[in-house]
Amino acid sequence: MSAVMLYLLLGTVLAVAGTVRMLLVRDLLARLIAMNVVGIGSLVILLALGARGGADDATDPVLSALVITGLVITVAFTGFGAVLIRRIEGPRPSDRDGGDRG
Amino acid sequence: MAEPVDWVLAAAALVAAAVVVLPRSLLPHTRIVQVMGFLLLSVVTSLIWLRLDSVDVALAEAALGGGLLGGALVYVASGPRRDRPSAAATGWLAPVLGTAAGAVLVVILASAWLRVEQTMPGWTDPLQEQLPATGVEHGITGVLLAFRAYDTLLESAVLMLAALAALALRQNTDPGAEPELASFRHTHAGHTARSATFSWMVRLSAPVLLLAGLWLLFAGSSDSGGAFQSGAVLAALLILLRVAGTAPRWLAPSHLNAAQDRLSTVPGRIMVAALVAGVVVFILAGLLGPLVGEPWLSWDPAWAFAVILTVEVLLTAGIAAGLYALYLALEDPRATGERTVRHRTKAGESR
Amino acid sequence: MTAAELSLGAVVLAPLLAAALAAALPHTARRALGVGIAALVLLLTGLLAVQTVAGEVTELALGGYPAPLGIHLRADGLSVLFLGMTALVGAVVTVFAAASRHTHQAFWTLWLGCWAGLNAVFVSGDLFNTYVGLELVGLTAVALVALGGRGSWAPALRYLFIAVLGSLLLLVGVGLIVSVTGTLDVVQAAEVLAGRPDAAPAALLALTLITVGLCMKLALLPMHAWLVPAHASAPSAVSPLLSGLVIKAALFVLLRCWLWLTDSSGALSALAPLAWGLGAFGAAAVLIGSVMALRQSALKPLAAYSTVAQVGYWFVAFPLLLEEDAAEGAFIGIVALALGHGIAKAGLFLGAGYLKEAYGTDEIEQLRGAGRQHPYAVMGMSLGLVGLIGLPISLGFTGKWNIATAAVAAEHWWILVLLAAGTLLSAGYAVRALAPLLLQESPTPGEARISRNYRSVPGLCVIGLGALTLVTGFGGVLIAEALEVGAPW
Repeated sequence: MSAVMLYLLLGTVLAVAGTVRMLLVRDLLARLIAMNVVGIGSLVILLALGARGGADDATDPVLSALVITGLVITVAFTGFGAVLIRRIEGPRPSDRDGGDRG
Repeated sequence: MAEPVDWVLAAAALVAAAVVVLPRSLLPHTRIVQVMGFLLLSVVTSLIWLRLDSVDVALAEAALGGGLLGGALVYVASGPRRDRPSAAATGWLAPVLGTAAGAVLVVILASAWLRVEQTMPGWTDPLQEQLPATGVEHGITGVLLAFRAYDTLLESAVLMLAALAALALRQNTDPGAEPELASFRHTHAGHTARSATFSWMVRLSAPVLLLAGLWLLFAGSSDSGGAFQSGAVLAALLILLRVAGTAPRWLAPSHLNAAQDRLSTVPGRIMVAALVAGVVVFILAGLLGPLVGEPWLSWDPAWAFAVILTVEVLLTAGIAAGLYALYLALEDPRATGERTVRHRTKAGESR
Repeated sequence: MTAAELSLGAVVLAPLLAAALAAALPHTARRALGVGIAALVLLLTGLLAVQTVAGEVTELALGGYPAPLGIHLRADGLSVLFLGMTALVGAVVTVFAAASRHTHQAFWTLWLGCWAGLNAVFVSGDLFNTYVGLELVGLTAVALVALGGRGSWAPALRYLFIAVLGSLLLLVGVGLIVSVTGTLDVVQAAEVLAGRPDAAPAALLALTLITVGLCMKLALLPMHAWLVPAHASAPSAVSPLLSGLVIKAALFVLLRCWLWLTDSSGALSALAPLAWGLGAFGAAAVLIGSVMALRQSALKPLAAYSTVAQVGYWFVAFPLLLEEDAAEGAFIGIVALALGHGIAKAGLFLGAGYLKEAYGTDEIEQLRGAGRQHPYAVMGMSLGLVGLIGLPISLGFTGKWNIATAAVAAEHWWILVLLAAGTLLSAGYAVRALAPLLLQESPTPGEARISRNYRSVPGLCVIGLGALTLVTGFGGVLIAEALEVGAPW
């Protein structure tokens, strides 16, 4: 098996496993993490496609730039998602004085 | 051909992913264990990028995906959590069906890849010939800031808007709301009381991080690195300083915690200005072309380098500020309060 | 550089600049900025529309770098139609938000950013740039939902998950196409694919991934569950933007990929199983979405389920895109339905949001007699529902008519049955929503005597969208002509 094919398969397995986890798990943070596993899987697939040029050449700059863009965007979404989770799981107005801050 | 190192990396990635995705019934783990699994996966992925000769992507993954994201997830995982009904209540059928469906999907996609990979024509790209005209030598920076500058602009805007949205969620901005929450000013006190050793270590590593960030920024034109990697390192520096409680006052806008300040304080203004400056200047620089009759985002070779450098420095500041703002928004859910007029939330909660 | 080329970039960059500036401005200035930008975008879109009427495709290579290295902006007939609908609906909703007391401070930055993203998708000639534009739209849309307060955070998060998942599928598909063709430009990629039959399996896989990803963002039936809570719990000024505009961005990209990336002969026939699958899910969406809409007791969820049903109509016509003699009619039909839905549904949601702000609830039972107090809003909603049912003199009618004719030409009779059933069901939920508002007495008789609210700007905005539903109905013929400009065949 070629290295490109290996990484294509690895990316596919990661992406599918992450997707299944996202659909099945209830815990919001676990979902968010699973979403990032899907993200990593997709980016592995992309970069493996970019590495098809040959073993000696560096990966194609265009696909590398695309992967960096994809990474930054995924981080932005994850950051906002994490903020939403904090809000959802944060204290409700009624237990304002309860004070269970971590 | 795949060499042993590829197999080892792939196996390591699968193990790390398994820690993240396996259900609780198979692998008893808490949120923090899952986050650690994700961090491990991120480290392995960085190594895979290196293996695929993509230093830039490896740097971005390590700084953004591993460092900052991991930190943020740890923060959420260790935070307070309203207990929900246990996940085990879903029974065994759904996980089994899900896994089976996933396995079938992997097999289908794998066979598709096999077929596609055999038939796919190779390709070479015309990038290297055009590069000298852009004012930068490094291929990826050239793509990001010259050929596809427009993508980079929109992508920076995504990060900027994510940060602004996160800040909006932590503020009390509902018109007609009563000012309150003065008592929450002090909720943040816990963060300043760190051990002396920790703050000493932060003081020691801060200059190193600063240098690393600046080096990544300015090396980007000729070598691996660039605005995103540099911004991530600088944001990490800001977060460390804040956690250690050693940040100078203008860098650590503790005022942001008090909901009624609405970012109108001086530190808040600096923060917002840094956030939007990159995008604003990028667009204004893009307007230079149309002013002299050229297309949008085109720069005369004579001053292309100066424009690109200015834009890149401001973008870096914006990215660092954006990531830092996301962290600040994560920090203190108390400060948001809940002032939405009751009837407006009813519909959402009833379903 | 011509004025049209200038506005091609400016429709994206002007709202984006305003979005960044709005974050640093005081609240009153944000409103003024928002209204000013709305006027500017209308003007810029008008300039592009003039080019289209003259039969020209406006094109611009950003930075002076031609594809495959650089990014091309391209405005053909399809782009201008979606740009125009977005500008009209966006401008009206902007005025509504500026006049409403309930608008969140952060609305302006996020909505202007969202508008920039929508326009970026519509003028993009580049696949990866399309992905970035969709992400801009997705992130701002999620954040706009989250402005609805505590009850909207969970739906917003759910929306975020599905939006990212869909985008990643799209991204892998795009990566596959660039690695096969060496270019991200839609037109160039299509040329390369047409000349290389050996790339067909890769192209098929890529299109499948892109289609599934976009269907998530479009809330096609099995993946629709996120849409209803997100659209229903969003703030009043946001729901019309989400249902009317945001999901159209994904539809636009889907049409672009299906009709431009594949030349009509070879690769399309391999898509037949996928197209029929989409058609089946679309048919189920029309029926299930309409029935669910009938069962709702509150206005906003009813409107959201109606969106699920309307999305179904677009996909019902997808199998027709593969038939040679029906493709053009089906294409015109899908576009007309989508444009008509954008305006009509925005009107319905804006009216529902207006009433919710006025009465503190959108439960139909408690809004009895609201038509007397707020005639403009209820009238605007009625006109929107006329467009959604697809009665004559609306784009909904033009769309259904074109799809029906195409279905007859291709002898797919089941589509006619489905269109009839869907129309009857939508008439049902229209009556369900409107009759109590128009015909019944207010539950608290004293309030009914409060003077009729004729002067409120938000109310005028609602009836403005309702009027647009009818006015655009006369433009059905223009759609067919506009789509000829830069058509894929």
